[in-house]
Amino acid sequence: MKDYPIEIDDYLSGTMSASEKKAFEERVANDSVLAEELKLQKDMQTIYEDQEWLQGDTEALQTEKATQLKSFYESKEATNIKSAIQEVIAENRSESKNKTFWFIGIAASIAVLITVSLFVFKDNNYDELYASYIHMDEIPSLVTRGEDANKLLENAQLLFEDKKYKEATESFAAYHAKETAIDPLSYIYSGIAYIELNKFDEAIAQFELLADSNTLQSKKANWYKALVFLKQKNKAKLKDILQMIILNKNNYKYKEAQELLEEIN
Amino acid sequence: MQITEKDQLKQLVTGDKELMQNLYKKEFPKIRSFVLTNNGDIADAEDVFQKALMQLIARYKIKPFVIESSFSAYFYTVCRNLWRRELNKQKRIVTNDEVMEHSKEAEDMTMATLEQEKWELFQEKLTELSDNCKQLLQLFFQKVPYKDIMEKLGYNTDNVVRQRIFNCKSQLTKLIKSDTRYNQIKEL
Repeated sequence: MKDYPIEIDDYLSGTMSASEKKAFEERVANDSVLAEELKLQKDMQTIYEDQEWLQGDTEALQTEKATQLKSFYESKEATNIKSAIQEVIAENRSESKNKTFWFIGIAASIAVLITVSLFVFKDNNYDELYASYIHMDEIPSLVTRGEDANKLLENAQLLFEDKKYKEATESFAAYHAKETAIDPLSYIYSGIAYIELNKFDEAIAQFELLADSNTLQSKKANWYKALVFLKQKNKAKLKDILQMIILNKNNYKYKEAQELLEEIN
Repeated sequence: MQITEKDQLKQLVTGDKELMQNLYKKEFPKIRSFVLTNNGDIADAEDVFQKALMQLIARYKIKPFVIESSFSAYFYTVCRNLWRRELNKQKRIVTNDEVMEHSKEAEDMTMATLEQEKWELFQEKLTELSDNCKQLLQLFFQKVPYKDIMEKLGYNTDNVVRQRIFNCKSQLTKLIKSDTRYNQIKEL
């Protein structure tokens, strides 16, 4: 079994004539080895093309592996683990609500103080600082790298450059959903677009993905998170992350982090 | 106490709620963001989170394994695939009601697990090829015509491209087939 029959490529790419196609299908019907080869090549096409999810044949439920999995999923143990997970999810759901109430309570009780503090931390200051540190022109372009320009990505960057941030985030999301090998720079663009839309949680999520990408770009994640908190005027979180950056001189934007820390203090 | 990534799975299998809580805090925002931007809602994201975790636990129970990349990146991929699968299924249900009607949850989870394992096997084998093969196959699977590949990569004739792709694809086929996991999922 060194090679697979090359006709399969012609059959799958639709370059066979009608009569060739018919003859090939007849061979497949009578030759289980050829049928198996065809299935494997078809599966490869689906998985590597990365458009549709390859839904398996339920025949496979008869295999030993499937039987083991299925009996685990039906076991008491699995039911218990599942309810434990669901409890965790539910607790977090209610906790985030409680937090909001708690926050409103605090907010109300310090409302009086706000008038005073307005003179102390000028909100506008943060916007100015954000504008002076964001340097969008510093981010390498997504499209000039490599010869295979990805259409989705190209489009997303154009939208970004046109400041159509909502459409840009949608395009980046489509790109992230479709590709397996993701250009880490796309997380930076997408994250900044979310900042511009004041969608801070989404922005943070993008930079988390950047941090997890295990690429040369990962190390930039903390700085971009800092920019999120800056735009959000979240002084406590901003300070935390800046302090993390200045722990090591080799960290991305070490100097800027130091400056910024001084400015907000 | 910091649990190393390696021990994380082992610990999860016991149904450790504290660990699940940490995992939720760390991973859920990313999953939510992905699902929300891809036609889903929070409940969908929660469902994906729960199913992904169950899937990892089930797989580990049956045959303990080690995650080579970062746990976070791996978990995200599993979630992403589960949601892609869900979206595909929804498409199919609209056109054909019978498909999902009789399938029970455990069976569906089993299928999802096997499909994920197959996907991982195929992705893993692709990385073992030469860069040239990877590039050619990437174009081939995106259905770029031989002629365009020839021009793009500077080959002399489209027949050379066809032969070269055939060779690369043969290598890949061989790699997949010779992996013991292939026999277990052949029927899938």
